[in-house]
Amino acid sequence: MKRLSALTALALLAAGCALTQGNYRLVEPGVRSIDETYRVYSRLAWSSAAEGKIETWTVDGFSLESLKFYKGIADGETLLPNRANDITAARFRASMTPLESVEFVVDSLYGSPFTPRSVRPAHFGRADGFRFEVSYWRGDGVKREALVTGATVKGRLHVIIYEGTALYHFERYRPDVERLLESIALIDS
Amino acid sequence: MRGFLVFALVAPLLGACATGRGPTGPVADLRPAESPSGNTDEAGMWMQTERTETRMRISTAVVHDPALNDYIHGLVCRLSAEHCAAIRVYVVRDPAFMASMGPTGLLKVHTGLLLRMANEAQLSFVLGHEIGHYVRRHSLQRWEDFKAKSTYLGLEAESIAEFSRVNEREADQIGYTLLVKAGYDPREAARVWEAMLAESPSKNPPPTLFIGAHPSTAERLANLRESAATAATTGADLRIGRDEYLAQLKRIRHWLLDDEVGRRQFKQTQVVMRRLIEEGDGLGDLHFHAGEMHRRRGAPEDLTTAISEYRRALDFPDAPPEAYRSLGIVYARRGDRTAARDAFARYLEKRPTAEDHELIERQLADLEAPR
Repeated sequence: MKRLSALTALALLAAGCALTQGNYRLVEPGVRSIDETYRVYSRLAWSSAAEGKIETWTVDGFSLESLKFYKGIADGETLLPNRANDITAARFRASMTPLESVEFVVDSLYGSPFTPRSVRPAHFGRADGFRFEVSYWRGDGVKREALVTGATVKGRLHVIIYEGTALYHFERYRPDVERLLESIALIDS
Repeated sequence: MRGFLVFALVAPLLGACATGRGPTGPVADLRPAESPSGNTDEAGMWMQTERTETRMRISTAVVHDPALNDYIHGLVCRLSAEHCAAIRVYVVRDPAFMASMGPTGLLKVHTGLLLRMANEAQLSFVLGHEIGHYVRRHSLQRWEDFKAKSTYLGLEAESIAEFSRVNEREADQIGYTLLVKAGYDPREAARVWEAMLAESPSKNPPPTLFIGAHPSTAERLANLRESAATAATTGADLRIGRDEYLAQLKRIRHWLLDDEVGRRQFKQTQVVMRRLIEEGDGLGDLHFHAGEMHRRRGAPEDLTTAISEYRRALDFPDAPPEAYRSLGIVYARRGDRTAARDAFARYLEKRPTAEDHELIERQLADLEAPR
């Protein structure tokens, strides 16, 4: 009986691994299309996982650093899919100015304890967008830095957030991420 | 004060009466500086709470404001000189209306509670309530009750809830007694519950194990009003301590209000804001945040109200320059380009190096461009 249980556990573990691996894919260096709305050029290879309108890339691990693409948030939608049914959650309006979009992202992700810095206009491909930085802490007590950029394109909000531990990971890949952000090119439809 | 609620949530699982008697026998009050020894349930509960406290010492959710901590701890000492050395105060940055006490004397005061208390007497009543839980060892009593009433068929939920209700009534009574003994106006105890009742989304919340573990707010309010009615409230020099309390809160009230608006629980926040405005201190900041609440809610009628709140805020010297920024956003949203431009320009005059000045300048340029 004990042996059977051990075998079952091993089988479940293997199935779990297979399932987990199945959720990730390799993003090779090169040009990548995001949501068929814009393209970016990455000189790094990343591991990628997707959930709904959020695609997350990482080099060293999601808890250390990540590059998140929030793809095409439509009018009336929340930034985080798990807040979609929460009547108190902030909702995007297609008429938001970049200033209001910044507030929407901060409200949705960081909350009042964390104040954005260097909030400024930024090009998102040809679109007029915004950019800011923010330091914050998660429940694990580790300080993180985040660089946020975004724009409304054809009535939908696109946001890219690069974040990592303040101690090391954020700065490690920042130059590569900056190059990637400079490479954003909207796809004509 | 939902701390009372949280306390009821945690206590039966982890391990916090009018008679001082637990379900398995008498439980003596905790003596000053007493700690459990040996291999007992209580020692285990203390160990778990000590681990929590170790994490809290380095938690970024804890407000590290020595003056505020000293002030609150001073109130604990005023209420209970014999136990104050064993009680440690942690101010937790969280807009919930809450306070809680661990069995070891780990006292958590959430910032949402601080925002809602009108004066030192009200805060002292809550602290006294928590001291009541600590001295009566309600954690241990509830844990023993929980164990005794857990069966293979499940929990005797109503019985456990009733035991918790007894604990809560007793803690209220102790809080009230300590308040009176310390020379505070006993009528302020009932005002804490009045505020909670006004804010409650439903005056009759559905009965559940945990909500049911507390006496109803209306019942607690009635009990405290009755006690205050029989206490001597005239002639004596009763302390309320509003000025002292506000002096402590002044440093942090702006971000307490930011956090409250950030909850996006607009109905409750509206009640809180209305009451704070009626109390009449810091009106510029309060009207600004009332405007922020309406702007964030964003219904068409909210935008009109937001504008009038910002305008009212700017009549007071403590209005933050961000009132101009928010006015600009609302005017722009309503298509009033001239008013939006004027408001943004005033904001930049007041805060030329604001973190968002470049984005505001861009918006100003857009507003000034021919359409």
